[in-house]
Amino acid sequence: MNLHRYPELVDRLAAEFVIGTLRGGARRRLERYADHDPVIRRAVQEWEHRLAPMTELAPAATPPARVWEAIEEQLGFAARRQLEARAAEAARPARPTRPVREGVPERRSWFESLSFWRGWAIGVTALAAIALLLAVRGLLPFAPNPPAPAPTVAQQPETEISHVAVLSNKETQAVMLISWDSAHGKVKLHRLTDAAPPAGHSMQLWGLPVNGHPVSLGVMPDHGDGTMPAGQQQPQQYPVLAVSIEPSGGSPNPNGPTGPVVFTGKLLPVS
Amino acid sequence: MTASPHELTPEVLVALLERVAVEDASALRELYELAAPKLFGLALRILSKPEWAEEVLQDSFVNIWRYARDYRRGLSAPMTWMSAIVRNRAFDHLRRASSMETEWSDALDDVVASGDPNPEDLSSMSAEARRLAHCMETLDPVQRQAVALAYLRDQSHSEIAEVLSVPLGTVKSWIRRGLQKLKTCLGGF
Repeated sequence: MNLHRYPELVDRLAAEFVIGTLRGGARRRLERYADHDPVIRRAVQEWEHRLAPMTELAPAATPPARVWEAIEEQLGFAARRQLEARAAEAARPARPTRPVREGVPERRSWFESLSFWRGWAIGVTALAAIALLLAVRGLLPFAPNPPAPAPTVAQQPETEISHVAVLSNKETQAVMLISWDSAHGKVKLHRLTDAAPPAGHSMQLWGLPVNGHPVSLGVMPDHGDGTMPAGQQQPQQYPVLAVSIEPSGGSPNPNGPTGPVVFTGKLLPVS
Repeated sequence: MTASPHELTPEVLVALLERVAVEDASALRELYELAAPKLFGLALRILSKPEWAEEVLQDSFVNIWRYARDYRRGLSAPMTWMSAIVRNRAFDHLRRASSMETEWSDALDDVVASGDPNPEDLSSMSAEARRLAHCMETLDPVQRQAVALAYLRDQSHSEIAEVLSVPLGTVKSWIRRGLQKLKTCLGGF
C-alpha cells in the first residue's frame, strides 16, 4: 500500500504512534516506514513536537530533601567535597615555588574528575561483578577442577592473586582486569579491549587510599598484558584503582596524576 | 533582556546544562533547585505514588548528569529534554510495576491537565506548553482525559477503556478526535 496516497491516514498513524496507542506489529511497521520514508518521518516528528510540551503541564510540586541527598550520594558529591578539601590542605605547604595559576586549577580539575569517578566506581554494576568473577576464575592458578596433578611441596604456585579490580570507562564498559599478587608483590594487567594511550603518552595505574594522595602503582605497557612490581604496596590500602593518561613515562607529579582519569574500578579481595 | 539566574528560562537552563556537561556539581545543584519541582510534578502525574515519583526524580537527575553533554539546544528546549528523561524513566518504572495494583481511578482527575494553570505555573512554562495548555482546553473533558492517559501514562486503548469504563471503540474515537482538534488548534503544519 502506498501510504503517500492517504496523507490523513499517515497523520493519524503518526499521531497514534507518538501518543503511544499504536502498538505491536502496527507500531513496528510504522517505525520501519519512518526509517526509510522522509514524509512519514516528518509526520512523526511533527507530532512529537506537538505533544512533548504536555509533560510541562503538570503543576509543580516540591520534592522532599531526601531526593537531592540520594542524588548527591549516588554521584559521589559528598566524597568529592572531602577530596577537594583535602587537596586544598595538601596543596598549601607543598610546591611553594610553582606558580599557582598553573598548578592549582589543573590539580583541582583532576580531583573533581577523580572524585566523580570514585563515586561512580562505587556504584559498579552487578554485571561488572559477574564479569569480574568469570574473569578471575579463568586467571586463577587453581581452577575448580584442576586437570594437573596436585602440586608437591616444592612447587610453589607462581601466582597468588589476592585482589582483583575490573576497570571500566565512563560508559561502564569493562576495559582492563587488574589482579594483584600480594605474596609476590606483583600487579598484573590484563586488557579486555585494546585500550591504548594516545601517541606520546602513557597510561599510569594509581591506588586511591581512603586518606591521602593517590599512589602510583606503575606505568602500564601501551598494548597487551603486563606485570608491574608492587613493591611494598599492599592491596588492602587501596579500595579503588584508577588509570590516568600521562606524559610518556608517567606523571611528573609523584603525588597524583596530571592528566585525565579514564578508567576506575573497585579493588576487591578474591576470597 | 537578561534573565535572573533564579528563573526557569530556557537560557538559564541551557547555561546550567552546559556546566553540568563538564561535570560541574554546583551547576547540577542549581539545576535541581530550579527544575526539580516541575519535573517532580510530572513524575507525580505519571506515577501518582509519591515514593515512585521520588525514585524516578532521583534516577532522572543522575541521567541528566551523565547525559548532559548529549543535550543539543537546537533540537529541543531544555525543559522538554529533561521532561522526556523523566517521562521515559517513569514509564520504565510503570512497566516494572505493571503487575502491581494501581489506583487509577483516585488519581484520574490529576492526570488531566487542568485548563487553568495558576499564573506562577504559566510563567514557568515554555511558549509551546502554554499553547498546548490552551488547546487542551478546547477538547471535551473525556477526550482530554483519554489523550492524557495515553501520553502521560503510556496506556493502551483497552487499558483506558477499562479505567474509564467505556467501550473500546469509544476510547478510540475520543483519542482520534482529540488529536485532530489539537492539531487544528495548534495550527497544523
